[in-house]
Amino acid sequence: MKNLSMKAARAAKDLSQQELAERVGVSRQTINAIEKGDYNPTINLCRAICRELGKTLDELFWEEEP
Amino acid sequence: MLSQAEAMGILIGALVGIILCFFLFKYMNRDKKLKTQYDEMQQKTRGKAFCYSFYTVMIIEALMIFVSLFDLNLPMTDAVVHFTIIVIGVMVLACYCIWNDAYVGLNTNMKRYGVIMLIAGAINLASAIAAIAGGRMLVGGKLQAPFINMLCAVMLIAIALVLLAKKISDAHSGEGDFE
Repeated sequence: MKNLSMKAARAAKDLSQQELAERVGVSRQTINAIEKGDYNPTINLCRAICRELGKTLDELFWEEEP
Repeated sequence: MLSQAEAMGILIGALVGIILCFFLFKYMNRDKKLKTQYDEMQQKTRGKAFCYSFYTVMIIEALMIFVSLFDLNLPMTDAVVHFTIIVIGVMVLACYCIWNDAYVGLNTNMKRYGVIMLIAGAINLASAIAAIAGGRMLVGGKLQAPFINMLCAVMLIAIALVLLAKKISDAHSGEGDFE
């Protein structure tokens, strides 16, 4: 499932995938895969992304049950 | 069968190649470190790639047992056969990594990498062409050691083509920075 909240948070900070990738120490392709829902990041990477985007883990990575 | 001088030449060439690789890897990486760094997704993907590569080599080596059992004659020397199997394994590893974004490390300078690959490909291709011109490629109906240079050149060209295909594929799928 696509991670639209992360994509929206990144766009709100006016960051490109490459910029966010550099800040959290991964490749642009990894950020792209997370946003597309193709890769489940480790908790360490989730925390680094949350720190950079100024969001909580719940806000970016928690999905409410339908 | 190789003469002792030829075998020694290949051994010395391989050793020089290994030492050269040490410096080239350091030059290729932006941070001048020998080890290429990969992120967590790339490491996971590379683990799968090594697995596929390992099984590929195991299957081909198992087939080679039957070649030996049935006494089949391959049109190449034993050294070339084993090197071909290694090249196939490396190709599986490289292609899987390229297609799943795990080939280029976080600290890889792609321009330098491209230059190194180009020079390595050109040297191998030149050696192979020289061997063909000198009649050393095929002796007694069997491909000889210089065919290894041809294999290396083909492998490097194939890797470059897969990298190019991946780049085109990404461009067509609209995988951009601000996607």
